[in-house]
Amino acid sequence: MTGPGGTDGAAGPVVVARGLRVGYGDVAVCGPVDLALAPGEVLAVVGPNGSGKSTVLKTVLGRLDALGGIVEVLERPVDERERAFRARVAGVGDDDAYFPGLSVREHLVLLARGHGVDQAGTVVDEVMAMFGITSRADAAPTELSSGQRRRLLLATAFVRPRDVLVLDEPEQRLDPGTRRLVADLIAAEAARGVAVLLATHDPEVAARTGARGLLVGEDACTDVARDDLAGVLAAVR
Amino acid sequence: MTSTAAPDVGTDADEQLTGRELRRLTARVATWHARRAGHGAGRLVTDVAYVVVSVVLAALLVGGTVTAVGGALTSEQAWTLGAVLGGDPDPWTGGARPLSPGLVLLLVLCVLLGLVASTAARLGPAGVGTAGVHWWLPTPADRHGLLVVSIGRATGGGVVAGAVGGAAAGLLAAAGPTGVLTGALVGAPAAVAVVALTGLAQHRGSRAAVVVGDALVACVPVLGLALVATGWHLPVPAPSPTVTALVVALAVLAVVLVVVWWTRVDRLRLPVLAARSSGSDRLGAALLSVDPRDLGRALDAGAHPRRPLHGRTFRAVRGPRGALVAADAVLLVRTSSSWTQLLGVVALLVLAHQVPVLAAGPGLALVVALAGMRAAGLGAGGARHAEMVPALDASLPLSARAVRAVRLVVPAATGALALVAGIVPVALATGSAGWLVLAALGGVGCGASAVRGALRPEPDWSGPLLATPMGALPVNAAAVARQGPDLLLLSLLPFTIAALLGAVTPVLVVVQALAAAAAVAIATRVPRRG
Repeated sequence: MTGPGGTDGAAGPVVVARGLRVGYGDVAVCGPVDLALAPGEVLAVVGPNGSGKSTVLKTVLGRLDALGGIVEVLERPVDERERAFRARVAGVGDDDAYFPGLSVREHLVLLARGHGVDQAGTVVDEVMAMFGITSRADAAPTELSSGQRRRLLLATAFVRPRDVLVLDEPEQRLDPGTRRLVADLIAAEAARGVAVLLATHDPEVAARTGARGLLVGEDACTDVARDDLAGVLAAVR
Repeated sequence: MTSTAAPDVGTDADEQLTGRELRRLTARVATWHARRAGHGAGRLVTDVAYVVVSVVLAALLVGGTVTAVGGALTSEQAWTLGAVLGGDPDPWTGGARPLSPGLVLLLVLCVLLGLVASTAARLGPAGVGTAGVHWWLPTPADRHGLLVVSIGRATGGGVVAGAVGGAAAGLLAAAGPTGVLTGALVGAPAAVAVVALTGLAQHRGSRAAVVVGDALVACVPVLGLALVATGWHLPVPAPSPTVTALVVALAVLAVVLVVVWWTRVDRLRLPVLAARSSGSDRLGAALLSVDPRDLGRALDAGAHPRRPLHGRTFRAVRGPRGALVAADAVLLVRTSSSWTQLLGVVALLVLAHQVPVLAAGPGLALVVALAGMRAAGLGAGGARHAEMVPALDASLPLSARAVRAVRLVVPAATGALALVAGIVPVALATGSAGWLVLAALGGVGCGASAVRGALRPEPDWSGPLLATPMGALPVNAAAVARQGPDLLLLSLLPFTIAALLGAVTPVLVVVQALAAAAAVAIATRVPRRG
């Protein structure tokens, strides 16, 4: 296991893509993706709006079929139907939907119980406190503000087990303080050996998580060294 | 936030919930909340009783109507006011021979199975809803346990739709109790088999099943037309060992297909389930609302426009009006299911001329109204979408009134073209071009009614509830749902009079033009705020 942002390669990569083509229908949205992400690493997928960052993440999570190439998670081709995949890979996107009649806390407890989490209620309470939504525990998710709903979505990744964490622009709709703390949380996840793949536009998130980068382009996707990532993010448009 | 590290999460394999347990836990929590809110067992009993009474009353009403329509379909002569009054020396009263009952039964069963296939494909048929996709599917719970309920629901829906539709087909064919029973016994297993087949093909995506179902529905009138033209006659099959064997074989096939579907359902991948989840959610919400727009949107969910191979340059477009018309036209052109349905509407109109009771008089007026409403509705897809996303129209430098007028162009064109094409046999039979003019103007009115319906305000739930034998009716919401159909009746009134008289007069043409103009004026009127 490596430290935050570590790339010493002590463990083999848990997320691998080789010549991966992603898109909708049969139209690729970006160049072929090549990446390798080891436990304890943070990889930030960066690029302008519409470049295909979210599409790459959805394909890694099995929420979209790959158009071609290879994508493996935990040393197996991505198949989100496998129990082990769902038990070990956590993903947070931007879309949400809720069960009518269930409160914020109940949604999280349900998810934790579904994963067989010990002391599910206690874990959920701690994560809700961490994200500052304890006071809204009994509210319906639809009653939350946009930012609070974002916190709820992020909380779903932390009430369940995970070896791979995939986050699509986790900084979205968050106030600056919460954004910094989410970045620190991600760094802490990497420190405990979780492989984190995220899409981001935020130089501060990239810096605080110690991420290296992958710049998604129309014709090709290129690696970005950790030290160059802030500059690349600033230049992206 | 109080900490920068998430708590440690330990798991116990014995505590991991199965799909069934997860589903039941969710339902238990929701039920507990419902009870706390006063929706307990008593409320449940009342609701069930209400539904049972409503269903029985609806069945009686539909049964009576279908029987009357069935009797009329196989009658020899249409009723017209012209024939009664004797004003016109040669009023149009139709002239075709009636359809044979067996043919009616066969065609209606084909339509039923096409509708079942396309509806099942649009709604799943297997699925867990959008909330289930977000909160159940990411867990290690087995997918089979989560999806099995939707299999039961879809199979039950197939049984009911097939049995009721098959019985209705028998009634429509005026085939007597034997025909009704045969229709129900054939319809139920056939519909279940179609649902199961759609389920087995779900992993490939729903588009093919939707297109096949829509095409089948659209082709039935064409097929009927061909069979009538060739003088094909089909009696209703009498009870016999062959019919019994057919029903048993269909039932066995349906059971086998459902079992195979049940064993394979856990192979469905998340992208497929996510794509279908919103359709079923939307249908559930639509059934709770009085607004038929939501129902249309839910059932149209699988009919996405195709992705263009080459983007259009829109060189001919000049100004915001042209842009809106071009957008509506491109949507129509790229939605293949709309084209197949338009073709079916025209074929249905032409086929109606082969059915004496529908070839003239009130039958002709009714068929033209239904065909015009559907054809214009297919052209109003852009307006319906704009109602959901008002920012689209607001982004152009046009007044709300002008937007409504422009949004009317495509539905008026589809309505007019379908009615004119469909009324050609009457014009040829009577030698009067006046029918074509009436149909074109009536089609414009249908377009106006489609736009008025698409852009009607949201239902107002604040008004009182009116108790009816069919259930409580929110008065204000129902009043909003009336907008659109009201204009259809107004704009087709002159055509209806012509159909009743069996002749087109210059006065009726003028009145029809005035009715179309009035319909356009009403449809483009912007409601006051507040």
